[in-house]
Amino acid sequence: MNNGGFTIRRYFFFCLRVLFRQRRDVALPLFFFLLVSSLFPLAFANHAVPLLAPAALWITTLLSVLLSLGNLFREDAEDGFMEQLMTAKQPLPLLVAAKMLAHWVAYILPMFICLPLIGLWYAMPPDTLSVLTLSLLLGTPTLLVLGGLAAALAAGLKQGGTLLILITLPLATPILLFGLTMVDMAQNGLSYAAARDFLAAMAVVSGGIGPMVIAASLRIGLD
Amino acid sequence: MLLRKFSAPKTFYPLAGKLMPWFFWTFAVLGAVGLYWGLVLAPVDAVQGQAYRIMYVHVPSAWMSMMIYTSMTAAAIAALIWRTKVAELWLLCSPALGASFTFITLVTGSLWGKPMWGAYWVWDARLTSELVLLFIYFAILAMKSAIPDRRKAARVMAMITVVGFVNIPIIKFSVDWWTTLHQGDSIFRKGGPSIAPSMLIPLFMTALSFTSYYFWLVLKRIRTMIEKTENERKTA
Repeated sequence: MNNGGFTIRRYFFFCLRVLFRQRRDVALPLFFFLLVSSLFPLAFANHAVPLLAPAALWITTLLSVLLSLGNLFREDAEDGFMEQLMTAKQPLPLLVAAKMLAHWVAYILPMFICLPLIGLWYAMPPDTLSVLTLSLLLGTPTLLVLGGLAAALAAGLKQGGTLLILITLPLATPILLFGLTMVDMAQNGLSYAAARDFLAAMAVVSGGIGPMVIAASLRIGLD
Repeated sequence: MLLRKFSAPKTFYPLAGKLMPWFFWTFAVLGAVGLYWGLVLAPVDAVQGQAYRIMYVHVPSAWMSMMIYTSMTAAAIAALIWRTKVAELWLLCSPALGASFTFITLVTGSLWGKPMWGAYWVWDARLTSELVLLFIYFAILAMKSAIPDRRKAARVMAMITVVGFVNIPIIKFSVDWWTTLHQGDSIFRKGGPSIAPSMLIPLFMTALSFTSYYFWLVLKRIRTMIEKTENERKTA
């Protein structure tokens, strides 16, 4: 099949390969995630840890995701590869989706693998940990899309990293709140279906229209 | 077609110049009368005493904080789809005013909150979403100052504005969707307003005055920006 040289799937694996060749860069947000997660139980009084653990973990995840997004488009923008993608035959939204998916696998999946360890640090009951994991699984796609949008808009700028955090945090607040509502409900033995469904709906919406919005933002950001 | 004609800076400039005095005098006259009526003449509230009078500043500011954002969203859509120049200018000139009104809302609200609720700040849905609005304004302003090219800045700001618009219905309906410490709507509600006319009329006056103030200032800023661009083009 000749699609101007590559398929979306090949581009996805290409992105993954690039990310895994920059192991050090990929490891940094994960290291940040572990480091900050270990600070909270140290800083909190012992009795407060189980109470505050879900909130601490959500905020840590939010910040780690934002940290990881700093170089989502920057390198491609700097070395001109992004222009190539924009003029490629393949639709830009699909390329963006493939890139974001690779980003999720390389940066965010490892955080989920570390969650049981952190649950241990926070002495979290397995039930709470599983609901928390679910809330993060449903919440991170939306966080990724919101952050990706900001990363696309700030791609050509010098202070891109800081601006990205500044833009994403206020927009991500509802996701954080619903994620924590979900855990809070579960901890109190109530049904958390409403918050879960809201997060799932947001994930579907951002997964569906996110790549298109980010592609449009890239065209604006790199104008 | 008519809209397209007025959306060109060349026709918008004199039009704005003609409208500005109207907005200015509406702002000045209604502001003076409304504030004097509200702060001095209006009867004392049976429950809240004199403290309720802060609403003559607080409520219109809160309306403005949302109205400005909504007008920015409309401008953002026009800027993104049609690249309308005046919409871009509207977007560049509005967020600082919106942020100011949001700030005034939050400050007057906390000053009222201390005697009424016993706390300057609570993390209630209405207050939190208004604070988030302030942060969104700041994010938009940060982008404006980070991008030297004005047209590009406007389109980047437009993108953030459209995404951030989800917060506006959250603010508006927060008092209905959640049980909040912040009181519910007492003006635009089913069954008519629950405020006496002698208190309500000055409120509408200050609201109209604040709205005119915004339009006056935003037109002034747009005109200045058009002049600046003209000068730059002439000297370049």
